[in-house]
Amino acid sequence: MRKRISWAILAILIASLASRLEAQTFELRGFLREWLKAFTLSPNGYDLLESRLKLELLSTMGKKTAFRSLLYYSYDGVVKKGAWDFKEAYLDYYSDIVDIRFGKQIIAWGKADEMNPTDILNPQNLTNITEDKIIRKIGLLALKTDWKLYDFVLTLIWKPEFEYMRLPEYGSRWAFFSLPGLDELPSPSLPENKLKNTEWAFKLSRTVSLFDFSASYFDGWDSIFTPEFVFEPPLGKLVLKRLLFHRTKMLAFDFAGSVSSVGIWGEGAYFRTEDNEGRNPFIKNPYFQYVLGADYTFGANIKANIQFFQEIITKIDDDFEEAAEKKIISKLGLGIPLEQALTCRIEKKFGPSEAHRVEIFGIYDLKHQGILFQPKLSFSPEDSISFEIGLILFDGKKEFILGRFKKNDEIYLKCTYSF
Amino acid sequence: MKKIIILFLIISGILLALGTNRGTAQEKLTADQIMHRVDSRPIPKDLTAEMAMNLIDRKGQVRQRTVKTLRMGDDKQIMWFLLPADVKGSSFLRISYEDREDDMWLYLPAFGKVRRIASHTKKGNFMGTDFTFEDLGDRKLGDYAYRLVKEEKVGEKSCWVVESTPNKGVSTDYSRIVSWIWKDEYIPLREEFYDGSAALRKVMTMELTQLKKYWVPKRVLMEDLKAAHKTAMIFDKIDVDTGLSEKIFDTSSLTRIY
Repeated sequence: MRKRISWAILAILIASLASRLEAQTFELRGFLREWLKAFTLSPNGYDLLESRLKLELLSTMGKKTAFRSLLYYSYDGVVKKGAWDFKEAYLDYYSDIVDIRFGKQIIAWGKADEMNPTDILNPQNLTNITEDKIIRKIGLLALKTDWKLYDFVLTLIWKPEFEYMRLPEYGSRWAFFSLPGLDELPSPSLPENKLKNTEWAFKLSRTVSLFDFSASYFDGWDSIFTPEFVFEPPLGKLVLKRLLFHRTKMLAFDFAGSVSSVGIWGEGAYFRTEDNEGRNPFIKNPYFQYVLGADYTFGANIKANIQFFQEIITKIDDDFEEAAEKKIISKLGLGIPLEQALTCRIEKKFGPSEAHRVEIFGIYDLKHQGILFQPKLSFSPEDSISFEIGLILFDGKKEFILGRFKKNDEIYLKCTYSF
Repeated sequence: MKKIIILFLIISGILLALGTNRGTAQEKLTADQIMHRVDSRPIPKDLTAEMAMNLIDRKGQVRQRTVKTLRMGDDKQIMWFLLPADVKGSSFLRISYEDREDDMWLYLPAFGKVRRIASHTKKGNFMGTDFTFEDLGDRKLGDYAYRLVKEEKVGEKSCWVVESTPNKGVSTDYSRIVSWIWKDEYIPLREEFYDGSAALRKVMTMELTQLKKYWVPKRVLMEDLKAAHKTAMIFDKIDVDTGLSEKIFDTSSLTRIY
């Protein structure tokens, strides 16, 4: 019901604006991308041969109104299966006091590079974690308003629609976890379709001297389910009953600026879960995640950044509980189970018009000595054509996430034509 | 006789008054005075334009960018990239201040986020052009020491040649900048940029056009002599003093659709 009302409002808005016949521009653009991936340790020739078409429609109606829609079609040549992915369709209204965006959209929060504890407004499709983050994100119906109040910008967001994280298929190559004796997961129980179950958030931003600051608050659902177990006496063990979602509140803060020649940034988010007393072993205790980073440009225009990430779970009573908490994947924030990590990115652009790029990105799991190493080379001989070749390498102990994916080391090639 | 003398004095006075503001050859201005007049010359309250940026490499291959730009005085500028397809949606905002370095932000659709451009990044090239982020910013009058080198013509226009050397503590990639300032309008028509080793690194030349009571850029060419690469900015659909709102020069505008 909520969804139908929202779509009806959007349709009425579009119709009323279109009827004024002030459409000045229509533009269709996108890309066609071929992505070939081969697992280095796999007996198969290649693991993924994906063709992806991106179609983006843009229209401005006068100076104050615009419309945008974005969808993808991807075809996997290995499993011979295609799928549409309708990402965004929204209407914008611009004024001196407020900018309004209503419709299916992706909202990006946070200042850090790739690891953003505060970027929780859109769940992600994690069935392929090597996909670009902007494509992994799932578009959601939302009303977003940016109010310009003197030197501040106040962003208010209302999300009537709920979506959850898409995890890799249980037991598959990219699965995050496994439960002994369990072959597949049941479908999760979604929150009831009621107004009180909608989500909302706000963010207050300001620039002071050479720094951007913002403080934000979110009241919504943890987009990763929590398994609920019951004890079955006949079996004498715990049995998975269902998958549930729980409410979580987030209080967050971020900043970005520079000191002398060094850029610095930080993001921190406190998540207050439903188990704020730390009593329910199946719901994650309240936890805190933060990232601190810095970047610098060396000679020959080589840019490097380094980040430190940490998660702190509160209200832990003993070692047993600590071990159990870490196994609960239900978590906003980063989403993937890391407790303490370092990331590093080194990049250099080169060639005419700096059209080519070489880059190395890495994550080091400080707690469990796991590593993700990702070098790549991008080459663009012409505007609109680009090639990217790279490696994605994992290493670490099998019990932890980066080591678990060791068998997924891969080499890939992407060819993209933009139009 | 008396009437002739009075008439002569009146006419001389009028001619003298007209000549003062133009800084004619008869008036000797110091380098500081010249640059002060460059900094305080009348400029449009606001300006809108579409700009084609042609990036030309050593083989003559051209990559083109099309940009919509809005300016408020010299202090605020916002740009949205319209073409080609792979940069469309990218945008840039600059806000300049009297007493500190400029704030700059860049929005790249591939990341979906607005990024502040840190000080060290300002020395990097803007979107693959020969203009650095620093070049797009506003040079502060008090950051440089000035020296009048000579007088010379650029085409038919008489110019002062002024050398600007950054003061100690000023963060810049250039050891000095030499500017050819058009005497009639106090606008730089040509600038030479010297790098840290005092070698000539880049040359900028500007062609102007008159719009209402202002002289505005029509074409700006920046040549990077070391990289053998050029960027030509060609301005089109220029309009001035249209009553732009100051509120559009905000980071929230970077994600607007144009």
